[in-house]
Amino acid sequence: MGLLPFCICCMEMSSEEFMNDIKWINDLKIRGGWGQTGNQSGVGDYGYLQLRNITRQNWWETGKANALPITSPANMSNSELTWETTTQTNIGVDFTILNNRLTLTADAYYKYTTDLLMDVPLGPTASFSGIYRNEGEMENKGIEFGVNSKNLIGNFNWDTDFNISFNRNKVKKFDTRQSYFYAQSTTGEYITKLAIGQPLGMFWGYVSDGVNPETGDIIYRDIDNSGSVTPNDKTYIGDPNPDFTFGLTNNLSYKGFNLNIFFQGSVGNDIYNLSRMETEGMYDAKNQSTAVLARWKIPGQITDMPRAVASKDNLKTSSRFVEDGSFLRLKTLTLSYNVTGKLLKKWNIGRLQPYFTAQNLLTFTNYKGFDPEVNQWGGSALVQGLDWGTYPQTKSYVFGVNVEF
Amino acid sequence: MKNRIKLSLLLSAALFMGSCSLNYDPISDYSELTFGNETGDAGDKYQTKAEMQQQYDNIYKSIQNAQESWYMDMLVFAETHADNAYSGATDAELISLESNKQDATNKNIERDWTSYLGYIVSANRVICNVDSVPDAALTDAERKQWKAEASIWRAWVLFDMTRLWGEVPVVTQETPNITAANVKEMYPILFPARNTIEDVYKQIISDLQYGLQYAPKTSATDKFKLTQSVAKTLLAKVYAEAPVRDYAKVIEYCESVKNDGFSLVANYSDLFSVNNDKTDVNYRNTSESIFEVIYPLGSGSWVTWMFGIDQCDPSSTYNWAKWITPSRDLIQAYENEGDNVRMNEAIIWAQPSWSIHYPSDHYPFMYKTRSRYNSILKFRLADVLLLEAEAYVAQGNLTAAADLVDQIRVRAKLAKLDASTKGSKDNMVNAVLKERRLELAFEGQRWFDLVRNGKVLEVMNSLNTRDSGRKKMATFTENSLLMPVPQTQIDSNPNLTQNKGY
Repeated sequence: MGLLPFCICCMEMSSEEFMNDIKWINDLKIRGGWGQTGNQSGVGDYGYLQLRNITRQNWWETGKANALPITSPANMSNSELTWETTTQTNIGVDFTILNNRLTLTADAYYKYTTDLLMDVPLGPTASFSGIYRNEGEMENKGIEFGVNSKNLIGNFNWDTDFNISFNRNKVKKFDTRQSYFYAQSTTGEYITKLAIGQPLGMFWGYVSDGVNPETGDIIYRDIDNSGSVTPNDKTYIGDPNPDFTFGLTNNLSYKGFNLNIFFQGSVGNDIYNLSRMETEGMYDAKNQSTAVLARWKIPGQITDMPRAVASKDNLKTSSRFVEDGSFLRLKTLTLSYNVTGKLLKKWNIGRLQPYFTAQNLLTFTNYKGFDPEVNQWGGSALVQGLDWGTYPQTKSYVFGVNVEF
Repeated sequence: MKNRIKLSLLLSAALFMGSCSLNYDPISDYSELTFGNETGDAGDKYQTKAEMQQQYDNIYKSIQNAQESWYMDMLVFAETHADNAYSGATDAELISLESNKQDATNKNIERDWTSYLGYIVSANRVICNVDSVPDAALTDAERKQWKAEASIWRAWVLFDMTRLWGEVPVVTQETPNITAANVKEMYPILFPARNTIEDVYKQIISDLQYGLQYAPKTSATDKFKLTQSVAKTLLAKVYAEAPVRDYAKVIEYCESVKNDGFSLVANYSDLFSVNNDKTDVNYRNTSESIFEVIYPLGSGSWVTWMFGIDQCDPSSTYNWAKWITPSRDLIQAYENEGDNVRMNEAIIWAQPSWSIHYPSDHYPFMYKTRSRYNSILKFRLADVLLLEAEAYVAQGNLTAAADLVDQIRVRAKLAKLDASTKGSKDNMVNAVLKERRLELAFEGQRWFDLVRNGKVLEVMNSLNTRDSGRKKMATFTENSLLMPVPQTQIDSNPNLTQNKGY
């Protein structure tokens, strides 16, 4: 049994008597809401039950002609399994001025998720590899701003839409394990660590202090001052969550021409560039990028590329491969023209619109890989910002004609 | 302010009541509901003999499927990590093991740790559940026998684990259900700490004693069976190890194995050879074999092409770097002894396209498991005889030891040990060790022989001076006797600790 209440309030300030005299404000609205939503994605059918694997017996073997199929336990039972619940509080303002030419919106939210559904891995000593549990709690909070401006109206039309979002998340509680690791690299180390008090997807590894000019090996920082580099020296070395993301759309039209330009961007997100482990790793026999030409060759050489050695010591999960994934991208650009004329009517053509669309046309970034907008582990919220030969987003040019009869 | 505030309010509730007609448990699927219990007690996880038999059969299937972790990687630990072999391929994991620079992130060590613990889980399935299967068709004798075989398997895996890692977690129960109420108590069961070496051996010995009591006797036609003789062989090996060393018991169990009707095959090559048509091996289940993993005709094993070409596959070629490349030091040892019989069964020369360790026109490969139809020989009588010889030497009974070694040497067409060797205990220790090396090369023994005899530092730290093709090795210390516990396992189980030196 579950109960998921929600409540939304909205106050039209501009309809109030005291605001009647303020003519420059066209609309002022304050919104607020509180609600709970449930989520059960990720859990299979009857996930709370111990299901059984079914195996047919080899009926062709002696004595098994009439053998019934046999079953065995397939997973762990969890009679307490329930959906995860997110409680969200949000407050927002809509503000329209200048003869409805400029609309500003602002929203702030706080989301708290309880009974977080997770597949808890139990390790090799357990009877089953893992159990679905309501394992933890997590918070998300953020603010979003939007601007919609009609810059020019008339023959020449120019609209601008801009939005920007800031989100912060943090794991608040785990039941069974205190931390989780995901995404094994070529060295066998995990890259992503999920732990209480941290955002999702944090990179965990050594701090690289560059190449030792004497040995040509990477110097990993001895954080706990133990005198040697051990896994205890690992720390958080990157955060794949952006400080903020934004989108900017400009729409220009003149006569039959229409130009739509959509920029998208993300600032402050880190990427773990596993592809460079392969193309600059020099740990086994495979082709490398030209970056390895700068590798360390003789004692005393100052370089940021370690020596070639058949070992993965220089490839330990470290800040060496963490890069700033901030980018600004011209996501789509569309130019179209509406053909008008008598012939169209005669031929019963309602609309004839040749157009050109380009996607991912321009990208501004310092990221060294193919594409800052990638994730090797797909859409997982737990593992983000990993690039390991991941197929980049394609640049595409489309010429076309829209015809309506 | 007048009450002109326009307020829109929406309140809604979605309710799923207990009486809701959709709220039924599924009975159309096979689940714990239709199989009688909701508590998850071990009691009726398996209802029929056939269901339990599947778990029992799974033990043998998992042994057949253990080619990677329990055979090939074992050879890397025992041969490449010792003085018998080079890495062969250029994988960083292999090279680090060849040069004693392995660390806790070595992926091969990780897969072995998790695989071995998984084998124990499959043994526990039988051990923990076989007594409570309600089906009367499963007789009391069968229950004891299955449990005994599973116990031997669990002991064997624990024995290999403790020789590799020292302290290891000993889990002898199935994972109980986890609830919000018991999650704290479950923690040490879900994420077990490492048991002391003493406790690990206690468990091994008690499992083997049970196996000795109820496991089947050895069968001349099926050596792929965890029999009493396998338990005895393991007990002999266990009591030869320092933590529980008792040479009287080693001799007792070796004698007991001999009395089970095993005998050395007349020709050493009969253990490994394939027939003239290259369609099958000449012999399996030989009189010498105590335990071998048999692969069915047709499919065979895959692991053979990791070492060389498959002698039963005419299309097989030296297509990429093979593992377990025989070392110059081993070849020298055979040549010093004039031991062509055994060298020719252990090593084959060929012309691959690469020259990683040798010139490509004359390149040695491991030859023992030479076709997909070759059984993986795990235990054979020669191993037991030489172990018994080792125990006799330790007890000072050099004559008895020399007699055993001579049996092995005569079969290999070599002269018996000379008087000067037989007359000195130190010489005999080395003679037995050398005989084991030549007789059992590439059968997964060498490293463990060196550790057991306390010879690792002496033999391995001088190897770079003897073997010009050997990668420069890190110096072996007492800490080198154990492998690192995989870091990923420590990451996900904070109760685990790391071995010294890693």
